Amino acid sequence: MDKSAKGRALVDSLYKEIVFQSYVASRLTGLPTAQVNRLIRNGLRSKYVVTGVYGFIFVLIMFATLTMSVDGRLIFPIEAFIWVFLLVFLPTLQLSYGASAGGQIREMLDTLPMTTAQIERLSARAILKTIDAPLAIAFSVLILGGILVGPLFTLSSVLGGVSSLGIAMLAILLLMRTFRKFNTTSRFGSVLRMVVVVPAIFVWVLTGYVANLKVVATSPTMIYTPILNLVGVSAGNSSALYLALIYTLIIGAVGYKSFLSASTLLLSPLVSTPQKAGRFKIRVRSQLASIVVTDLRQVVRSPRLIGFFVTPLVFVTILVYDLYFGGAVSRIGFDFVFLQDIVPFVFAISYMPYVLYLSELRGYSYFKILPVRNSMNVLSKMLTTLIVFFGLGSIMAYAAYLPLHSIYVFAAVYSLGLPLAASVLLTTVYFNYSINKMSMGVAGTLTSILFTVLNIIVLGIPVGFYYAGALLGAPPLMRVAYLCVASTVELIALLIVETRVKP
Amino acid sequence: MFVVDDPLVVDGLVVRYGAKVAVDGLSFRLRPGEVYGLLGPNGAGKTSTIKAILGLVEPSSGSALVYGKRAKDDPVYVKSKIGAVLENPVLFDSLTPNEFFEFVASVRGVRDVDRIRALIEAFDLQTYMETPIAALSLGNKQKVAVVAALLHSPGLLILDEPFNGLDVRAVAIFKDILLKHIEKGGAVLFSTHIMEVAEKICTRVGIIHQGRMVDEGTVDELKQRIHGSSLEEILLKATQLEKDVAEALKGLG
Ligand SMILES: Nc1ncnc2c1ncn2[C@@H]1O[C@H](COP(=O)(O)OP(=O)(O)O)[C@@H](O)[C@H]1O
Ligand SMILES: [Mg+2]
Repeated sequence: MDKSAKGRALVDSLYKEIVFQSYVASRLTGLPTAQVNRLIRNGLRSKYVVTGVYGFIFVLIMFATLTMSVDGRLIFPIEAFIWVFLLVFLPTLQLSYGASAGGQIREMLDTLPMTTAQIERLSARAILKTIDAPLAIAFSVLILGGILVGPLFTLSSVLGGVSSLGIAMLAILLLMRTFRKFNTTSRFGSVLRMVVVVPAIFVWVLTGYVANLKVVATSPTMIYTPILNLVGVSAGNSSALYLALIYTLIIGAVGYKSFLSASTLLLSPLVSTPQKAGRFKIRVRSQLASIVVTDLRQVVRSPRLIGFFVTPLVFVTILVYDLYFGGAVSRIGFDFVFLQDIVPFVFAISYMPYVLYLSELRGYSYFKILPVRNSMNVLSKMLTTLIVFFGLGSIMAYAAYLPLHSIYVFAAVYSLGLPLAASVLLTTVYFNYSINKMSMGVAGTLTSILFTVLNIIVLGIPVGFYYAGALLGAPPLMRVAYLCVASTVELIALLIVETRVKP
Repeated sequence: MFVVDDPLVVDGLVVRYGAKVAVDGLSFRLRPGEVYGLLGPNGAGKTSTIKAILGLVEPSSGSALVYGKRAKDDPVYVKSKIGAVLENPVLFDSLTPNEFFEFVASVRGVRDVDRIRALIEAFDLQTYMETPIAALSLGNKQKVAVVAALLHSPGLLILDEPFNGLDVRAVAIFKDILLKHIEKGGAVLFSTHIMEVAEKICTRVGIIHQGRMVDEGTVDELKQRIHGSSLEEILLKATQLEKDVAEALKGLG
């Protein structure tokens, strides 16, 4: 084998190990070989799923742009900027969480007859390999799309894409540095992990801002403000072009350096801060409370799981803004808001029990030797989920109440607790089923899709009854009653199924 | 009439993984006050036996009764009677030992905080109480698992290779705790391949090979029967691995 082929083979195995560590190993140990192989395959495949999704989004943006007015089209490079950022930022962040075994990988590499520089280059290439396909598709669409819309667009959107890459890499490096400064068990570390998604949310909210942007290609903003002046580039302004070339070069270089440092950091051991000895306090709780507390602790400390936890929070923030400050309720009516915003919020929360079971799985073989009744465990998951729902739901209901001044709003929002409880039972059945199949809660794509469909049905039927009530002209509280009756029936049915499927 | 059931009765236990038979008709019994050592080479079926007792795998046939009950029939009863340290214990990585002990004590309904404190100090874990378990050394992780298994003063202790990574001090304390435990009428089942330890603390040993019981008795009985001077020699002879070893050494030249 010649030298470059050897390098490629090493990058390949390194890439596989990184994917394994970040998608699989952080979840479990002691799985049979066939399972591990399947999980690695799923991990490797997920890159192509992401590629497909992003390819679709980019094509969509491109066509949307084509349908716009000549001025409207000018925001194309900024859309490119936003989506390239999300494309790079989210998967790389996910990678940096999972690779807590990065230190071991690095130690193994250090025993190979290579220089440090070679090892670092190799690591960088392996990490790049985790996002190469989605990046390639994104830039291909940008270039091809640019050609369709106009050659200036190719130039501006590629500049936008490159700056975006650079900024994403810098953001990741800074986040990783900060993470490593704090112990996982510190409160501050937990808060930090929650705010980590903020850059992504911010950029996402930017899409709304950009959509409403008044595009005047000749305004000073569109010529001299970095990123925004990509509009000027698309319009053919040469000052904007020179400026954009300069900052893209700088950001690109900084981003490249950041990427190299981040990939080295990713594969280096975590140093835990020394502890002060002595005082400790043991607080014994009830069985139920201790499971709930432990569940919450684990979720909050796992950067991967906390994402699920934060999603509903983001929903509430956007919604409260929309309902209260944006006046959506008075504009489009509560029934519509209920369907469009509040039900999806409940849908987002309905994935929490799954996340909780998953966190339990990390200590699963241990959890299994504890004398916990299955019913007690289900109860704890339900309690945690409902606590989160009623907490966040109250904020949302209150935001809707302010313009409407009708207590009925609270009844409608709270009644969704019932189908949510039914969804917890569904999740339990699904989870125990996956465990029985020895797929350990990391079920195949097909079962996951099936679960999502069933979950939509479980939440959808009661909501359907609510709207059936509305169509039949039932008064608001009567509609809520329909919803409650339908979900109670579901709850009982699922309870019967649940007691039949033993873990 | 009241029947006081023995801590553990394993009868004709068979564990299969697909076509692979890991445990092949194993029978043995533990009485109160006994320390029973399950000895055997890697892959003999020790861990599988322990998992079947705990109900973590389902036996294809035969049974394991813990104080008269099967894990399958009354899992909560069986699990509350047992304190277990599993091989490669997967603990809750993101918790600290402090939080982990709180969790285990709460779930098991242990109210005696002084006992928990004493155990933590006996195993010298005070300085690690706030370190995430993921960041502990192998030995300290093992100590955390051992303390967690002892919290509720279980009747039956089940330990799969419990001396993995423990330092001398911890082994000495652990042995002491085991002795106190059986004095109070508890029973211990443990698997190991470290023969000195087994020789010192086992009241009885069972030698298993390829999922079957090859020989069983007190260490002295086995020594007489198999004409070996140490448990290690007995194990090699009983499992007929002696020839294997000789051949392997020849192969290495
Ligand atoms: N989950 C599993 N799937 C398939 N085979 C297994 C599994 N666990 C153990 N085995 C096999 O069963 C046999 C007994 O294993 P084990 O009980 O772990 O032995 P020991 O603990 O004595 O080393 C070994 O051959 C092992 O490869
Ligand atoms: Mg074993």
